[in-house]
Amino acid sequence: MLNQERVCEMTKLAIFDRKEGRECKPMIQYFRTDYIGKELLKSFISGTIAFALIIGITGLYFMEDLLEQINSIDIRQMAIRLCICYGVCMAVYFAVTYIVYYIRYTKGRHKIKKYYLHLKKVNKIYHEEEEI
Amino acid sequence: MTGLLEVKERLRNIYVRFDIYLNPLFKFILAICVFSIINGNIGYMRRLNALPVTLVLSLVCAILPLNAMIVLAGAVILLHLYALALEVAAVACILFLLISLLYFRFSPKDSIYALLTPFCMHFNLGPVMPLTAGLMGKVYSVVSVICGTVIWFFLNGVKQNEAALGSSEETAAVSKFTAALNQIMNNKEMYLVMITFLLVTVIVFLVRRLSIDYAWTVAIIVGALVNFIVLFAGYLVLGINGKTVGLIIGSLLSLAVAFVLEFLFFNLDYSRTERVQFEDDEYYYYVKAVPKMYVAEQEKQVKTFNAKGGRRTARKRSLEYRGEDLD
Repeated sequence: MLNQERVCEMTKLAIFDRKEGRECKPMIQYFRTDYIGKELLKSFISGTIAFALIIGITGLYFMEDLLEQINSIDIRQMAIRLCICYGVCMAVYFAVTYIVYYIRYTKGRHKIKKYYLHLKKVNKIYHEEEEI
Repeated sequence: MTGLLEVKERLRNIYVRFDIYLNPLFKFILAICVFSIINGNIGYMRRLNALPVTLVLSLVCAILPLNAMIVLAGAVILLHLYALALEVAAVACILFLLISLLYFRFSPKDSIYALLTPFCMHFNLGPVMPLTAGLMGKVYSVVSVICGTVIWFFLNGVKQNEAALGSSEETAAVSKFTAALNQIMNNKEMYLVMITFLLVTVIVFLVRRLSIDYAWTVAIIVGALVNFIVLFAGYLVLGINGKTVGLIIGSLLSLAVAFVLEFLFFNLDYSRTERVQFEDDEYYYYVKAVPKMYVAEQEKQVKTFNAKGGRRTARKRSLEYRGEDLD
């Protein structure tokens, strides 16, 4: 015969698996530092590509001005400015990434704790059923 | 009002019963609308404009998750722009890449706002999106709305300058790049709309979370007013003419859509508000509980009156009871 309480708990587990299970999977696999480190690495790659795209597109937009002033441009000064710009942009991007994924990890862990509570309940109910 | 609530409950029940079929159907309809608008406005690649292509793409979108629709819509836009000019397609590709790398990496669920914003702006219903994001999303959903706004202004600019951008004369590639980028970089109206949408979303989000009666209604009205005033003043300052009538109509329609959303998702009965106070060891609680408006759907009972049949049935039952045959 169906145990109503067990079915309820199992439904909750299934709903969690379907909706949030995939998102919360990394919170089981990784420690907080590893998880955030992995995301920071991804941010480094995506941020660098995005910065290169922005610089490329800006360069194309101001191409005529650049060509006019090509002889008077201090390339070293320009490279230093670009590096500073890149550093600042990446620092901001890293900060945003850190905050977002720190919060996401904390929330995910809370959800997983709840999931484990339901899992324990199901186990307990199974044991009780077996004893009967 | 009771009738409307009954209709709402009926719709909700229908959705709950048939959501497995309705969700793909809604996605299919949305995809058809999105692809038709894209093809209707920037349909430079004729092969993609064919109805069977739109239908197949929409069918694919109906089965796949919502984000796939955004990817496919982006791909269709790029192909159309490629047919117009390679440089324009390159700029669009960079724009899409930047948006996906910088924002959708963090919040892929919000990408629907980026898809719906150009859709709404096409029908002069732009304010609907910041109002919706403020009412139903998180405050950072505004970034998605802004991304959608940038995409719409870029595509609209390309459409308006299609003759210059698509000319087969030997114009330098750099100047085509510059012309395509000018649709974003030098578009003052776009910056005005972006700032307005940012303001509206933040204001609506803050007001609807206040612990006041009719918070959503107040948020919608304040948001719509801010949208109208900022855009109207901005158009005056920037010297953009011929937008006032569209702005008024768009604001009114957006207000109506926002109220429909409120009715569907946040319909409270403030006349039955409960206020209770209690305490435990650590806190004193001031609780305000507002019940949702709810009307149970009336169950219809159909009674059939048929005198002849009724008498016959009664006779049959009485004979059966006595154990006799009908004949």
